[in-house]
Amino acid sequence: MDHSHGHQMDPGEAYSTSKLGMWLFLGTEIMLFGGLFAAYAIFRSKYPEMFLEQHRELNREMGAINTCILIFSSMTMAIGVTAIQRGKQKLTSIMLLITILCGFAFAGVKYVEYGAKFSHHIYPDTSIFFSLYFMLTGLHMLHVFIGIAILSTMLVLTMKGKFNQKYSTPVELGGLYWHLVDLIWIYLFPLLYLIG
Amino acid sequence: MLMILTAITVSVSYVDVGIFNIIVAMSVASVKATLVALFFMHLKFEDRITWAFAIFPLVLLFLLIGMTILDTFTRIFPV
Amino acid sequence: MANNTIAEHVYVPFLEEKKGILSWLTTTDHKKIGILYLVSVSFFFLIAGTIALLMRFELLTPEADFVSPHVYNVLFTLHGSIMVFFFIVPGLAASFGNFLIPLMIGAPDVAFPKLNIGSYWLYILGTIILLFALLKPADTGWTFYTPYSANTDTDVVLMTFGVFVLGFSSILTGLNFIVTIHKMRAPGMTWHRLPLFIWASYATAILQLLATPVVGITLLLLIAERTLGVGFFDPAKGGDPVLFQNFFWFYSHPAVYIMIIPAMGVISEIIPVFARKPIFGYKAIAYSSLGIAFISFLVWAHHMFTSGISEVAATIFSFLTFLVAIPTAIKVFNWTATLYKGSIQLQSPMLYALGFIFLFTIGGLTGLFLGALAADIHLHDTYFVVAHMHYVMIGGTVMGFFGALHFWYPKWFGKMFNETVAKVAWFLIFVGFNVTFFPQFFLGVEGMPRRYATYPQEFKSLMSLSTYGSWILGVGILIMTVNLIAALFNGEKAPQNPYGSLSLEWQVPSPPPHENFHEIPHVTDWTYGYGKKS
Repeated sequence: MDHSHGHQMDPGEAYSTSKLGMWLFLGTEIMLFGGLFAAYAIFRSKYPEMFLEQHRELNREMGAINTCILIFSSMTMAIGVTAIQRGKQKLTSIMLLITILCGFAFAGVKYVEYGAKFSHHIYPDTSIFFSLYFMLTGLHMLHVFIGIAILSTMLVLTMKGKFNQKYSTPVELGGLYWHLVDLIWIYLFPLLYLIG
Repeated sequence: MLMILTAITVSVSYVDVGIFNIIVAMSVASVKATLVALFFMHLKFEDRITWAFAIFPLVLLFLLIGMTILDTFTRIFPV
Repeated sequence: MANNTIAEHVYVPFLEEKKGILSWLTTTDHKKIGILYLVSVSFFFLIAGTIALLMRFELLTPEADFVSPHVYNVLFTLHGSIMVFFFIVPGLAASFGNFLIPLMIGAPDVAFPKLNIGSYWLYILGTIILLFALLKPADTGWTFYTPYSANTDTDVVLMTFGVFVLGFSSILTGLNFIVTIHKMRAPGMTWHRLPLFIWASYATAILQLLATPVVGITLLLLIAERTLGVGFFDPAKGGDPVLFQNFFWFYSHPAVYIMIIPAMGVISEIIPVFARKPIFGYKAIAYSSLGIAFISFLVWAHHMFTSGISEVAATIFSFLTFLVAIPTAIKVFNWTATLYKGSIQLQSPMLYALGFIFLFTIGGLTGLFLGALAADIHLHDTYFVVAHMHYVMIGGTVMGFFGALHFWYPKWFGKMFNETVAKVAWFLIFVGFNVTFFPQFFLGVEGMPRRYATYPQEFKSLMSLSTYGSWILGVGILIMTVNLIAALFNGEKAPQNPYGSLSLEWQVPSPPPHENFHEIPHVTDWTYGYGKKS
């Protein structure tokens, strides 16, 4: 057919183009969460005692476990990306699987945490501090689920052999997204759990 | 690298048992974040445009937070 | 059909490439996507404009005799929301940006064509949701401030969700354009050879990308306030309603620059062609687009001078607001300098461009009045603001939009419209616009507040004059629209380059083929070498 898409980009250019696109998207995610961080900063400055007192209700150990889970999953994700860049599909699949399981583990811990809060009658509208807590962790949780969905898709495609050392872009992009999820938690954890 | 990050996390959670300062927490978080960005996300090896778009949102964020705090706390009748 | 019979180079205009509604809705051709946006935004423009005519009709008399005050509130909410979210924010960027950016930089399409059509679907989804919510009805005004929006029983959740989806569309379009401009320029198309419309589109895209998420989170917080009882904006729960305004305007002020910067880009393209002179001060105009975009992030609270923000903050924002006038003025000076000793041809695109310079300057200068703290205390929420914003949005953006329509019409649709009718329409629009909005400056200074269905008798003569103006404006727009649509069917076939432009999009047939360029051009000179003796 004379649909001459003859001006395809060469693979190297297509790769860097897609990566730039993903970094731009991560920028928007930073601005999205940024608004919440701004709200946090303002209300914390206005009500330091409320924050001090109420953050003690949060389970620091669970938060720390979740932090380690996510950092660990970031590592497995990074290993997975390097693996597929070297064409090691099996290793990539394993790493993706571990990352996804970590995501579920994180969700599980949060489920337990939220359950504990609700059983103590602590809800989003209980106070400004808890509004922030639930909004921040809730929005973050949503992104964890989106990340799990993306990585699961990558896992399926990797197992079908769609990626190799010449073409691994989607895995890398998925990885970048997952790292962002980790990055946001890296800030959430101390802000919510550790500010005593 | 991973070990460093985990150790930092653990040490942070110990420190808060005693007297704690939000600046320390934020600095540690920032170090961790920088390491994740530079190495896990390969930012260290990316081109200048990517760096620009990774950093510029942070600048905007400081603006948003800074100016709204400035407003809130210089009002004559604080809310 | 004397088609070129060499196998690889059969010229098929992109409009005839594939037929059928489904192929249009699933196209990844940026030129068709541009048309999809063009048709959609123009449709909503006409609807919201008609609503404005209804509003002005009510304002013909001091009493609320045509519609009740509540209905009037619904009308201005509809007018504002549809104009802002369905027309003017996506408008020029998504329609002309989509069509022109790849052509102007010598690329076959945008960086992410599937994302591009995805953005359009999100746009349509957002408009459906928001329209549904607005018609329920909604009466919060397009700015849906708390505490009213947090407590009223109109469907604010649905409304904000619609805006959220539209915001997503805007973000993805901005992302696409930034990557396209960085990565897909033809060989030799260095940054300093780019047409100024591209610089403008780039600056706009940055705003779309980074400012919109903040209104996204604001909307989520408002939804949380209404559904989960969260109290960030509620003083009774320790929150602050002004915080809503801070977050809202952090986006919405850059948003107004999303509205105007592409129009300025259009003017920078039209003026050199119709003055047959290189643009004066290319780098100044290029960098001023970036400057405006950056400073636009710094001035948001000038919408809040009377909302109870601190004096310290107000002073700083006032100073920054004056700063943003500087890059804008640079553009106006450079356009004017381009005209000097040019060989001016007053065809319809040029008329719109000249109209823009005159009207936008008035709009911009009156913005300075509002930026001055003491004056703003008196003028905030009066008709002075209404006049200012319509001078920049209609006198600015819409003039740019109409100018772009007339300038690139032959390229996009392959037909020529009736130039005389176009000029008549322009004249009616120009006169009608000024008669509608210039009196409003005086009304504002006299104290007439905005968003009111009734008013004291003393304002009747100016209010009526404004309404008569709106009728002239409406007729002008109607004539222009009919002219352009009729030309699709009856117009003469357009030549490749009727206006003698040097820009890349004019070096391909009208309309362009699907892949834009048979061979990617190699660029050796900037776009504005007019008047050179070659």
